[in-house]
Amino acid sequence: MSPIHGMRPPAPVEFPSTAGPLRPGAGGPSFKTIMAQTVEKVNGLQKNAQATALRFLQGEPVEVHQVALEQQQASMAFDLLVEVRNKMVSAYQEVMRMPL
Amino acid sequence: MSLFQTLSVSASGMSAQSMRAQTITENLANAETTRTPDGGPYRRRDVVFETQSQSSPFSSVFQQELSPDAMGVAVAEVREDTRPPLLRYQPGHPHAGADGYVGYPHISPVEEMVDLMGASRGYQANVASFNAAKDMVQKSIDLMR
Amino acid sequence: MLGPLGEQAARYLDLLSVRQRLVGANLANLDTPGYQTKDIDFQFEFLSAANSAQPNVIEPGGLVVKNDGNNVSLHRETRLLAENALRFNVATTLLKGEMRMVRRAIGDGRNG
Repeated sequence: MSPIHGMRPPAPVEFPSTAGPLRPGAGGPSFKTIMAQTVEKVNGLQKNAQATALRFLQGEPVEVHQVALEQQQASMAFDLLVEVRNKMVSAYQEVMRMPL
Repeated sequence: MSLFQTLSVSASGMSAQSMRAQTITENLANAETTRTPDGGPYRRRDVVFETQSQSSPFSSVFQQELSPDAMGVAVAEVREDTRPPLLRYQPGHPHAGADGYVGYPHISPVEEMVDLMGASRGYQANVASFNAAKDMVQKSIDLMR
Repeated sequence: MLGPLGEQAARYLDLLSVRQRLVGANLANLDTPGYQTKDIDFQFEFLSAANSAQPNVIEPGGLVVKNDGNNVSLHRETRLLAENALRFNVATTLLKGEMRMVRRAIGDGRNG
């Protein structure tokens, strides 16, 4: 009798954290680097989700819930990224509006 | 084993139980039949089940994936009763032999009815598991909405 | 516009509709003497690149032939009906997800 394989638990999305007081020029990754890394991670999640969905359509023995979970993960990560970007843009705009 | 293969397995169960019910019904209808086209009284028929690997209609016809996990059921054969017929002394019967005995099939209606209930329960159980598999897949799809 | 997954999902839906139509015809002819079950070779049609061409209708083998020459199996067709509907749902939901993603990208480009 073949062993029952459990589902892979969904991998948590880790956004790199920069805990600690902000010190100008104190080293550590710049925001640009963090954003780039996060975009890469989200892109990776989306590519995985697409690949799994395609394999399901092609008739390979992929479970529907696997497809569903990966799609949702990728979607949530993407939405989170977009929100973060929007917040950054509006913060920038607010700073630009400040009278000198 | 994919949930879709469960659908195949349940469907094969339904098919098998349905054929079993059909055979039992034939037995019941012919419980007192003394003459068949082959000559001689009706012989009781019984189905023999065996496991059968299920293939999915969604895999390519030229590469049927016979997964060892998806074992459904198939009717291997319909076996006839080979015992000599039950003899009853009825000299006036049109099908009586020279000695006045008529041959009858070895069918007990009570036994057949109990067997029929078993086939019906088996069918319902397969329908229930079919619906359960369908619901589970639908719920997984709802995750994506 | 939709990307590879969207196009594949659309093609999947096309094939599923054809298959479902054939299942309907098979079920309608459950008792027709001499009727042979009709189907399409789903995986082959899906994986082959031919896009808008109509898939070939084949007659699957291995089916029990009844006394009147009809070989439609009620259980096979019912099972296909259920699986087609489920796979249809999966494909439409995937397509919706793709469209939402594209729309999100367009919308945020406008608002950003």
